[in-house]
Amino acid sequence: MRVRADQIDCTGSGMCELSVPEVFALDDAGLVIVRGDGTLAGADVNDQGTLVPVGMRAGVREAAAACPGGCISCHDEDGE
Amino acid sequence: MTQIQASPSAVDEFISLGPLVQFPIGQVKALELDGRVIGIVRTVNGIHALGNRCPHQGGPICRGIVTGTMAPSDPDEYVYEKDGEVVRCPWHGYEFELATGRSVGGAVRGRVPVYTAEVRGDEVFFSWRRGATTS
Repeated sequence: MRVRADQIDCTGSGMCELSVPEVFALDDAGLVIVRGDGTLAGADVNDQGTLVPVGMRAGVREAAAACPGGCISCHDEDGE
Repeated sequence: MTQIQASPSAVDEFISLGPLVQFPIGQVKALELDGRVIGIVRTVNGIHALGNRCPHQGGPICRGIVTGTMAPSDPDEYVYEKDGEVVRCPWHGYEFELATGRSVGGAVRGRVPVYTAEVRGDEVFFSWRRGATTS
């Protein structure tokens, strides 16, 4: 599963960071970023998003569902 | 709801939303742009562009009303301020400053997305550029 976050819609509520701080954070402007910068161990980023470690996928789905801005999207890859 | 066909191709690109007279003072005018709903609010002090998501539970803020707010005050004293500079979410009544998207009184963490809107001559221009107002 890969995850992306769209800052255009982000409300900066921080629900995602509270849910899965290993994957999400807020930047200096208070908007969501996905930790694809090496902070997320073994981060693998492509144009469909950042690869989410298996153990964090349920949390990421919950964060996407809870996001008031609706700005987090999850993309399942083949075989998931 | 009006659909704007031209879309900014980059965050910092401005597009025209039409003549200023199409935006009545004190109302949220919802537009669909690039697959997203935005609300344009003209006030006596300027023009603002909002995203359609309340930071509380994602309510459709562009269906809210433009209003003022009650300021903290002594018992039996009522102080109404910021008339026309606040939008109230239709779902739970939380209020947000139009200029910054911040919650009035800090009641809600986060903020309504606020984009860049400008009046040039008699025309309104918009871009997706966000303000960097950390909440």
